[in-house]
Amino acid sequence: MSDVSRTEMMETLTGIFREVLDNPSLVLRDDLTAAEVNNWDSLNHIDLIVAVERRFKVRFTTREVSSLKNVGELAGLTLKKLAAHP
Amino acid sequence: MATRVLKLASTFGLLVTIILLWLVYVEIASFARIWLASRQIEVIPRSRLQTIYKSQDWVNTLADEWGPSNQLNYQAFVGWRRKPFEGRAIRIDQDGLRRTFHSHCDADAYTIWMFGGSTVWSTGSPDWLTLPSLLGQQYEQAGRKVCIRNYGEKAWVNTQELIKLILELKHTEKKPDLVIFYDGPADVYETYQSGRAGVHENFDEIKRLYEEHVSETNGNFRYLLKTNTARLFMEQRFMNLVGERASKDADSIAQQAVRCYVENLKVVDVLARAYGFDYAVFWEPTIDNGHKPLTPDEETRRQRAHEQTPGLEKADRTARACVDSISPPHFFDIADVFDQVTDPIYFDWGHVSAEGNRIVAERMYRTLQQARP
Amino acid sequence: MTFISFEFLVGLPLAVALYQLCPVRMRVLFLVLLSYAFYCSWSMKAAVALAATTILTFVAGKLIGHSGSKHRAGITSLVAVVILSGYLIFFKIVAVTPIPRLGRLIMPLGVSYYTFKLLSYVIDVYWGTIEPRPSFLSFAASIVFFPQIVAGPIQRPADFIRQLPPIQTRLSQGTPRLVWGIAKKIFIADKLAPAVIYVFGHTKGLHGSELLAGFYLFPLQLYVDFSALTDIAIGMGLLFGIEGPENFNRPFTASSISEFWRRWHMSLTRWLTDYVFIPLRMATRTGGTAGLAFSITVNMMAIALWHGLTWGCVMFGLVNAGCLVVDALTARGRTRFFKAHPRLDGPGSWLGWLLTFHLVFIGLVFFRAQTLSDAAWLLSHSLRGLSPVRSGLSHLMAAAGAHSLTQGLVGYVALELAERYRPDNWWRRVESALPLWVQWSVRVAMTVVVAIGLFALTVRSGGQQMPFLYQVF
Repeated sequence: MSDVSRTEMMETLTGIFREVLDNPSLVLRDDLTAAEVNNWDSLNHIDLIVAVERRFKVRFTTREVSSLKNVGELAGLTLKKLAAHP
Repeated sequence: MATRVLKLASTFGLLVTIILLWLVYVEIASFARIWLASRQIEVIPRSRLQTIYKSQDWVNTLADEWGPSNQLNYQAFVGWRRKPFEGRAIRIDQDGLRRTFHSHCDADAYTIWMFGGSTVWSTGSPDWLTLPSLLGQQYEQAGRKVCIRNYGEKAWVNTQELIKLILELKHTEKKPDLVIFYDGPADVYETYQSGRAGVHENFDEIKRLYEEHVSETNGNFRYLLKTNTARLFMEQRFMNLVGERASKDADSIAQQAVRCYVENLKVVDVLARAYGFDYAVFWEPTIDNGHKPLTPDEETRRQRAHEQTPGLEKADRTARACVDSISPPHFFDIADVFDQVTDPIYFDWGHVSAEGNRIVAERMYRTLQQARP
Repeated sequence: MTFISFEFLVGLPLAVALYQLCPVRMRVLFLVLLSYAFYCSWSMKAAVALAATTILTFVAGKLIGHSGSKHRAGITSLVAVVILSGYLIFFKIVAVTPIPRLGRLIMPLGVSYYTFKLLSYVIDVYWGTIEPRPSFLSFAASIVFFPQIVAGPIQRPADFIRQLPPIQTRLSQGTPRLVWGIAKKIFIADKLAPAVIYVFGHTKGLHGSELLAGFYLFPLQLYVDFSALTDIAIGMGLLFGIEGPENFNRPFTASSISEFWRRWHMSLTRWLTDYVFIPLRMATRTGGTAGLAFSITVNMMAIALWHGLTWGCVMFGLVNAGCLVVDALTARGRTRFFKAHPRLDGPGSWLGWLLTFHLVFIGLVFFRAQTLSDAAWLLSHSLRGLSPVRSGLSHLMAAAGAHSLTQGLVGYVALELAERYRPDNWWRRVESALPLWVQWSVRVAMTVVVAIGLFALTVRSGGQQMPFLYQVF
């Protein structure tokens, strides 16, 4: 899993989001935020983080999670982690 | 440079304009606020009269006549007394005395003079249900016919009543057989309001009006104190002062009031011996100084009163305890008269319904009979 | 000086007018001076405490942000958080138990609100969410800003400072909002208050219908009272060019308890979510159901205890925590059930709504009752002795003033309708389609109505007012 491209990342995230949020038609954008999505509340937020962690075998800190503003930043952060620990 | 100065000048001009406009706005708002407050000339609103008296046919007449009958004359030494008034529920004679029913003033009738504040005058009741009228009825029911004169007047304290007694003794042909005082808490309230015992209610305001008028001989800017803004500001400051003082000195207020009261009674005692009349002094109940089980409505009245006169409750209770411990001669504390009554009695802090008057009259009569068999 | 007092409302137009005149670069200073003047009118000592904590936090922020090592930054922020939290907890404790030599200290005005603002700044700087502010004046303004200091909303300093300097003031938006808030308070909340005070002041002496009335009336009164305060705060903020966060989003329409808490006192719940729930949940994310329940409970207890350190608040927290945990654990199951039975979805939502607000109301009984036993009495006796409904209710009407209560209830219904149908939004949508003279006539008429409304409310204010329920926090 060392060379994941941005597009692949977004695809995988879409799958995760659709499953956790129980929304099969959800489409992700870089600037998508929680406020715009039904059902994406603070409880599900952590479920999403956990799911991403499991999928990519990375670990986020609270600090990192709290500073995420949208889906694009989540994707970017995950890619950075993968690059740091291949 | 010139543009800078111009800009500064125009800003300054704008600033001055804004402040002046704002002062005008404040003046208008203060006027409106004072006007709104003055519209509440009813001490007891019509709706509350209707609730307590239900559907009696005279209630509206009473409510209508309250305002017009509430005009005051200046009277020497006592300050004020109501103007004469000819109504159906309220009638006041040329001497400022309210009509009393069940009162038979023949040449040799047993004469009772009743002194007190608005509770003796009986705010909230028609003439035939005032405290003096109902006391007269007590005598009638026992087979006696007495003459009762109602010297009660609103906002009077014990000292005004004493002075009125002296003035009346001086110029009335027929001296009284019995003089009754029904007061007490008003003296506490007066001390609470002005910070000193032995003056009358609204002392500071009357003093200010008088002194302002006197100083009008020279040119000055004191007319600014007559603006609505100034009045409102001073009233607010006054109320804050009263509240602060009471929260620190409730006990002292009570003691001062009672001391003045007791000294007055010594004078009454001397007068009674000199003029040959009997006398009885009754301490009246208020919504705070007794232990009446209050109805929800009375409870609300009580809360309201506490908001408007913070600290008075403590002074009220302390005063009663204080005068009880002194126990002057001819003194009867009947502030417990409503302690077993569950019906609604109180209109506000001190004024009671006709039923309240009846209960007090009954108690007074019984007390008087027991004291002199 | 409270917001709904003659002195305040009569002085506000002057402040706003002078602010308009004030050059933009001096407006932040103006706000700081005005806000401190307002705060000092309440208490000088409290103002000193506020200034001290503000300075402390600002310095801490600088140290954390410009610190060389992550370790040092961590220690500094921990110390700051401990001091600020201790400061708040100290006042919460003192409010319920007098201290031997100090006696009973009154809680400084807005301490719960401004301490949370300070804490959020420290934590955000530590997390790198924001840079430490270079300007002390801007930072101080964000903390002491007087429309928000009394009872929130809790605006994050970063969000506030982003809007500085306030070039554009929004009088046409702010004034109607302000007038709306004051009117809500005077004509609805204060009319419902006497009945609530009566029921909760005499609980053990009452039965059935009166208790039930109190049960339903208190949450309504609380909502109107607090949302009125928020309207006033936001309205006033707009007059000075600052937009504050919303606190309420039609909370009683929630069909689940977690939804309720996303609609009620939003600035507080968002704060706790960001700084308590998420960190806690991250720490317990591998703990399965237990971790979830733990995080929810701690978060909810924090919300409850923020209001006061009383047993009533504790029970309020526990009731809500319990409901939230159940809600969280069954959420997925419920969604699946209703997907499988779409016809039951409608009645399901309706039932959910009914259940939600009853659960919330039960929690609020504990919040409001004077003692736990009073709360227990109310809940256990509400459905007993219902038959003398007329006499019970007539007692209540007598205490509350029949007119007063009726007016309050009618006003509440009108409020809910206004919030549902949003005439102001409707107007904004249709406005541009109308001829110009109609637009202008309406605008002028609205301005006149609002101006007269503000004047009338100013004149009427003060006197026999009920104190704001959320002003003591």
